[in-house]
Amino acid sequence: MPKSLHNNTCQETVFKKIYLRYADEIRNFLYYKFGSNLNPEDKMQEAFIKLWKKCKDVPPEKAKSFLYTVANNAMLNEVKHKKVILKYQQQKKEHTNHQDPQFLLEEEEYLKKYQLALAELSEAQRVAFLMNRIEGKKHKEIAEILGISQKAVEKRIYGALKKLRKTIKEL
Amino acid sequence: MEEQKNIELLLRKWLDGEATPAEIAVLEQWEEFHTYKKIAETALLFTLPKPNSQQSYKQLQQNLASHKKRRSAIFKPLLKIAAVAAIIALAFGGYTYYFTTHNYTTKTAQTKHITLPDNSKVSLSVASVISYSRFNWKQNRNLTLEGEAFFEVEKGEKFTVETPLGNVSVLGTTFNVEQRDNFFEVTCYEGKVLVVTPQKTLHLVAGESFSLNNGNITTQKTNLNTPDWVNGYSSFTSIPITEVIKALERQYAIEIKIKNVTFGSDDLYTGTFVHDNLSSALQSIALAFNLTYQQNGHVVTLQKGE
Repeated sequence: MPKSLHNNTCQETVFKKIYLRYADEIRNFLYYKFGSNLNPEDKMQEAFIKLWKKCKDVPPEKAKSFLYTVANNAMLNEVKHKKVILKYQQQKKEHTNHQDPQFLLEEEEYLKKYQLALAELSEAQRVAFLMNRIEGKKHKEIAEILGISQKAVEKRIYGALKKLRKTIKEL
Repeated sequence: MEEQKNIELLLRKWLDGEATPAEIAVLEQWEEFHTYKKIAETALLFTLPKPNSQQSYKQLQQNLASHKKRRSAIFKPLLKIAAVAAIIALAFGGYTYYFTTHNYTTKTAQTKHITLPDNSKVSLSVASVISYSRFNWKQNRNLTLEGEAFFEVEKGEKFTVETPLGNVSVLGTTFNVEQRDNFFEVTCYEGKVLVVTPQKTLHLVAGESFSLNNGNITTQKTNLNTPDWVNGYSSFTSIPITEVIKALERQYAIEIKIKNVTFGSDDLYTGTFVHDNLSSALQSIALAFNLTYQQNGHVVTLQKGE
């Protein structure tokens, strides 16, 4: 079977297309799963460096799963004994009309609890939940990315919501 | 039971963004929904700041380029040895550069201007010492001072000046600190500084000055933009004359002897002396106390006027 010349990962244009298509997605995935203290950006870049080195063996249609696997493994090598921390952004503008310090303090308190509660979720729950809430991805899309059934995604997201509520309440 | 199941089903649908307005209205009536809604919305605050993809691609290209270089170096043993030697030399140099404490000292009649690693500026007055470590300076801006110095601090992390009598902390501003023997004075010229002494902790805003003299605290106002010594003279407001004489000795690297008159702590001086003309400086003090002076090399004698 003849290989198409224009469909080769080693070609810079193809490689760049793959990068622009998946870089954000993979960085976010790593962040949801492992938090920000292990530098998801670096691991994502490492995965692309590996892809470039192996570009002859990995056709573009397999690039995505290759990248996810490599990035995930790179993280796992480091992750073992580190705690997951996700960073929250400072409150957005629309909240500034509530300048009541009591309110601000409570909000800050709530965010801290939320942060701890996120760390308490299982990796699977956290990834699915944050993909859904932050990126607004449909259950169906998440199922495709993670390679699991739509029902499983629904279960993870719903489970995450329940667990967050329980942990925040108890803290 | 039936209702609970129904709500759970709606909640799942709502999470997928598939709930109809009518269904959301049903959920809204359920009290706990607001807790869930808040949890679902708060997740948005946990987004990762997104770098520009095009730019991060450039970063990747650089990383790829450095990978290639590193690879070829492995095959050249000589280069490898050179690299190791260079690393050791750099590490050693870096160690001494970053981890040892840097000291700057001025003698009497000498001032210095120092620029810190973050571009903050220090003007060191006569007979003073500052020391600091370059290591992690941007995160940890701490230096110790004995004597007097004027600081122009760039914005950044907390900047702290430690003295034996108290500490001064700021974020970015200009201020003067003087500590000699039992005298400690901080004047803020711009922004806001925090002064911490065992006796008192207070904030100074621009134009305020705090001084501690043998345990006595006074606060004053100033309308200057820089301390007087930076502009070439010293000024005093109700300061014991003995202190003023010490300042004069430091400034001109002279020794002052006092004959047939004794000064107590009640003999206060208010006035200035210039830094570039000794006889004029001596005159301004001598006149105020009705004294005469005689200069003999480095020794000046002050005595009661005839």
